[in-house]
Amino acid sequence: MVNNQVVERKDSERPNPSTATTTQSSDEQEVVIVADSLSKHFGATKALDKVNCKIGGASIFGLIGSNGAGKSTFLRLAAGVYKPTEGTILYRGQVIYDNPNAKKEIIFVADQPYFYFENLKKMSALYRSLYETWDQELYHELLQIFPIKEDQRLDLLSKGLHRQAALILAIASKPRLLLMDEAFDGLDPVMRQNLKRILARQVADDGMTTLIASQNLRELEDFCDHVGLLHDGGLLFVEELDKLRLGLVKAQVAFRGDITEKQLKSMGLEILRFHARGSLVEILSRNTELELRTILNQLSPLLLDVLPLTLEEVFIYELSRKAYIVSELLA
Amino acid sequence: MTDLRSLIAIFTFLFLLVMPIAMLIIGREVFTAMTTGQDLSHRAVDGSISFHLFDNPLLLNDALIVFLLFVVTLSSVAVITLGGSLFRPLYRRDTVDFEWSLPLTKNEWFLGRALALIAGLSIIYIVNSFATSAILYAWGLKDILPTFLLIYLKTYLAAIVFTGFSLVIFSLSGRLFDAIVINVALHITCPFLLLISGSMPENTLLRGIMWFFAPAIDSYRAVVAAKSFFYYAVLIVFWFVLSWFCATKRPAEWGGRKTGTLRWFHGAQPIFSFIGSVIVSNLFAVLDPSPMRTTLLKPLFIIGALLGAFLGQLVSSAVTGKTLQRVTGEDSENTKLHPILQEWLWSLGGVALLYAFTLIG
Repeated sequence: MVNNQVVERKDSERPNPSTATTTQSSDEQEVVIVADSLSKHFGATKALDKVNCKIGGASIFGLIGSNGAGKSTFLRLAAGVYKPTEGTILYRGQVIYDNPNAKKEIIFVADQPYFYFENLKKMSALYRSLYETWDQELYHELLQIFPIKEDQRLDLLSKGLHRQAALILAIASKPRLLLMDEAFDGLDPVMRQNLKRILARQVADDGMTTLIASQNLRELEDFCDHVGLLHDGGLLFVEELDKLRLGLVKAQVAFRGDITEKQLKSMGLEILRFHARGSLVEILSRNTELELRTILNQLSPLLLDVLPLTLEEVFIYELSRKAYIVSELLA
Repeated sequence: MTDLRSLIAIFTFLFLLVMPIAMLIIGREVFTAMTTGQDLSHRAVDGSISFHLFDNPLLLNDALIVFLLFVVTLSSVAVITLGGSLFRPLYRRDTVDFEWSLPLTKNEWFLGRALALIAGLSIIYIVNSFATSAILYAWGLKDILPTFLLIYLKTYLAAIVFTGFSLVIFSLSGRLFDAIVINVALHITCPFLLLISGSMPENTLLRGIMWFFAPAIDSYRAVVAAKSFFYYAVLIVFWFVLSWFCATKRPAEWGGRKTGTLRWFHGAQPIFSFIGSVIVSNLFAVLDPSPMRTTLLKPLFIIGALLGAFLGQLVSSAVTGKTLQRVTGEDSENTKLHPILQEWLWSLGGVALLYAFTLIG
């Protein structure tokens, strides 16, 4: 069992995810979900163990982790399906489990959507009766975007269309908190983009908060504004994506002579990785791009290229600091 | 939803087939011939007379008895089938995810399902009793209508008792299949124990407990035995309160798990040993010709008790999907006796106690 502590940054100015919200400040943006020492055990198996986190409103939060990391369990706790074994999970200060007041603002799209009735027409009537925020206009708009007819038999649809039907119902209900488990699974690239666009619009226009669990880091990197990494029931890492990218920089540099890592560190670079291949050096440092350029330009390099960082690389370097092997954490 | 409507329609038809349609098929003449000399009205109306199926003369005519026994059988099947259809969402992860994330309390969820089940049964019974009454009325047999309807009402109440009992089983089981197997197994075991403890008088506590855990079998007595409405009211309240408690406290994660792996099953393990002991010891005792004064000291009785306890342990282990083992709490690790041996001793003690009760009876 991995010790469940959140990866902390050296930089004390950056928020500690165990206590900080995923937003810049709790005063600026409302905290929607608060998990406090949240644990869920299934017999001897600790699916989640003492997880602490806060998720701010009007954001898209990506919850990533490998199979069995506890992503679905976290979503089920947030949806009020499971009762926590220990600790609490609150939605806007309210207990979620068995609380219709909280649940009427939350919709959970599970990895295997279920439909009580045989077509969208009847299902939409059910949702309309359950969720006061149901938007009929938006529902019809979504029916135009997604290729499903209202009276089509849902049990005969493919996995991808099944998921689309569930998403139509969920989005048209205009929840304050949308929970999605493997949201993009089974969707073709066009539909993925459509979904991302619609969700981004709902977040911007209606202040909806979206919590997406996925194994696929690449799926989320152009979409989420915050990410959390679950592993072995523990939340290892929670951070704002832009901050992550801003705080790290990767560069390829070629120097005239031999330059050592020690030299660069003494000049003020906070190097996370130094890899020399002949005269070409690849550097990953915890500095801004401007800082990196200023310092390296003092050495008059033959070549200085700042390279884009993928979310996966960010995680690799962040987590390697805590001796985690990322390939074990992500599928 | 569509499934439920279809099931109600199917059972309504089957009930009609068993009672009013069958009456129409045999015709008024045959029916009247069968009921000739059978004055039903004074025999069962007040419910004060005891009825017996085998040893004593029947108080209801043969035709009605057969019809009503079919109705009771059908209603038991209807309870399990309709209940299974309505409570199936408990056992699948996708349905649990969907239904328990909806803005409904567990109380509302349970109440909705339980009322739907009772309503379904009520529709079936009302349609059937109206149709049968109409036929009896049309045949000019108005005199037997009150008696007939009273028995019908008691049969219906017995079915509601069984519904409450079944809801407890549904709520405690991990899978629908397990729920049905447990329900049927209890209804086989309890009457069997009743047969074994045949020397006990009707009103002993143990016999009462055995009927209590086999309400579908007990509902056959509704046709012939005198049971007050208070008796049914108490049982209905008891089973529905218990089922409400079990259903609302049921963790979502139980869905789809083998019942043998659920926590409460650990506590139920000794019951298997006890029942195994009782059944096998009594069966062996019948075979033992030794002239002992008390059965308790017969060698075969004791061997049967030991063997039965062991078989009971094997069965309960098989239900959990494991080889013979006992799952115990953390505290019991310090106990001096092995859990299996401990359970044996408890079972033997229980058999001796049961035998003592029989003697007192």
